[in-house]
Amino acid sequence: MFKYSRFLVHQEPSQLEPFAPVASRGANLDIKQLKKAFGSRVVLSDFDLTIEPGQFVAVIGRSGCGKTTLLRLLAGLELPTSGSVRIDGFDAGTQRSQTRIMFQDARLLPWRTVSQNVAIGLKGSKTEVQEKVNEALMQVGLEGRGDDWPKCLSGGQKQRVALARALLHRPSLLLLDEPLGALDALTRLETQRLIERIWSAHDFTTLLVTHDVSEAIVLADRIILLEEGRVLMDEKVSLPRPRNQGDPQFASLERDVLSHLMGC
Amino acid sequence: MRKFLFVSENDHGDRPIKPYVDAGAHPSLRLPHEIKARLKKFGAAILPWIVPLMIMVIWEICSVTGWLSTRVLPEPLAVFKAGFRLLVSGELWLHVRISAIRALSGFAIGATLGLLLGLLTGSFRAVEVILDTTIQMIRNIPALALIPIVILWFGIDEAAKLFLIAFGVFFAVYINTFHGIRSVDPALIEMGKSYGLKGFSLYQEIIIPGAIASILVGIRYALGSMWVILIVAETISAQSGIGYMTMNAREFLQTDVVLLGILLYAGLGKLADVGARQLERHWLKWHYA
Repeated sequence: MFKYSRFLVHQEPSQLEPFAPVASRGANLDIKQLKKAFGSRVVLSDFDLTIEPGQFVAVIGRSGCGKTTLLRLLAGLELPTSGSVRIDGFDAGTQRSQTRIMFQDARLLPWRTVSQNVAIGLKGSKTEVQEKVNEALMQVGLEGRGDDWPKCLSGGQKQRVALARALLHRPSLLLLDEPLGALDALTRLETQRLIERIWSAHDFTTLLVTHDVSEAIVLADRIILLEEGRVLMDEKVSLPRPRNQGDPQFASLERDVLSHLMGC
Repeated sequence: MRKFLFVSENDHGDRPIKPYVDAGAHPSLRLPHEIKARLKKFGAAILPWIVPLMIMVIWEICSVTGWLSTRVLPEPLAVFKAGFRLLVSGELWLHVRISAIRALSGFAIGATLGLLLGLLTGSFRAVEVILDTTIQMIRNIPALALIPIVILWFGIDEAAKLFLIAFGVFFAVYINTFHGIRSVDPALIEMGKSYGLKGFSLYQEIIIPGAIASILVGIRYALGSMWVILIVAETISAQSGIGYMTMNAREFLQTDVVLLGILLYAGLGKLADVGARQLERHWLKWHYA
């Protein structure tokens, strides 16, 4: 334990508080006339979307509506069939170092310890890397677990390691592909709160793909509803944070979104 | 994993043993738990050796009473004596060393080639398309079927033995390496790429560790076929090595030495397997944690 004591002293008053705010602002997204097809199956067509820097946007839709494809295009993991996906004015494929994606499964390497997993792709001297890793683990409340194997962690803890890994690179765009979908209700609420706290301190642009309407309303500034590759609804959420699911305004918004989603 | 067979749910561990008499008055009557646990562990270590030991005892009895002719099977004691005699004369060490060097150099050549080619075909579709069919065809030739042509090519020297062993070892390592690389989770590779890993670092962090379990299966299998081929190669033609020693002893009807040679092969085989297992424990420690 004493190995981490320097950080504990350094950060004691706010052990679980977010990173100190950094100057880097979030990315600006601009999608124009996007079309994406896999063979003859068109997933997205005539798709336009602009997202301002630092915005938290939730994309909701039934499975197969193209929301994950949209995320993968932004991450540079897929290329558009036609049209453009631009991050800060550059093609998404060239901005991969600015972009971090969190998947539904944590995708930790089972043969690396938690620390080594967080440090993946990080360059620098050993002590520098270790310092950053410890700091990131502390942010997600996993200090002291650095030497454990991923298989010793619970599902929620694995996702927090994945979050620490993504945050370590100080991304300007964080893409979340249903990262909380496989967690139990309580862990999900905790992790939502953690993501909200870190996001509000960091200023990065966040795009959350989910099929959980209340999760979208808890977290997002703006909710986009996708159906068959088109934007069905685009709504700002102006409820004060932290949001409470018991709030009548929350409930009416949730009803509204759900009725759009069900098509009545 | 093996330990669960013997020392898992130790039900003496937390259940107090009911003393026949008042424990306060006669504390010495109770067997302390840790001693019990230790006895159990000791038993688990000894248990696998009871059957071989019984066989030896029965065998010795049969020989001594004359039920078993020494022409057929010498008594175990005679085998030990022969082993000791050859050990003192230095002959034993000479033959074992030569055989081990032969086996390991053939193995090193075959396994390295198998690993490299497996990495290539596993990583690049084009190489797979070009080479895999050919390799799969050659794979079906038993190494020992090549003996006549190998003797024509290399004569009966060391080169022939090394070739046979390398040939036999190559395919097990090749196929398992290929399969290991192909079965690495593509989601992890995608994750690695999105974190900027490519080329060597991608192999170092994700592809090789992901394939290592399968590669080790190949290596263990290859070690098995290595001994089989070595034995045959050495009994056909050699001027030294365990195979030569046993064939030579046969000419002089020294059944004790013949049997010693067979036991040596068994011992060396076991040793190689233990070595492979150590490697497994080191490289797959995340698996057993």
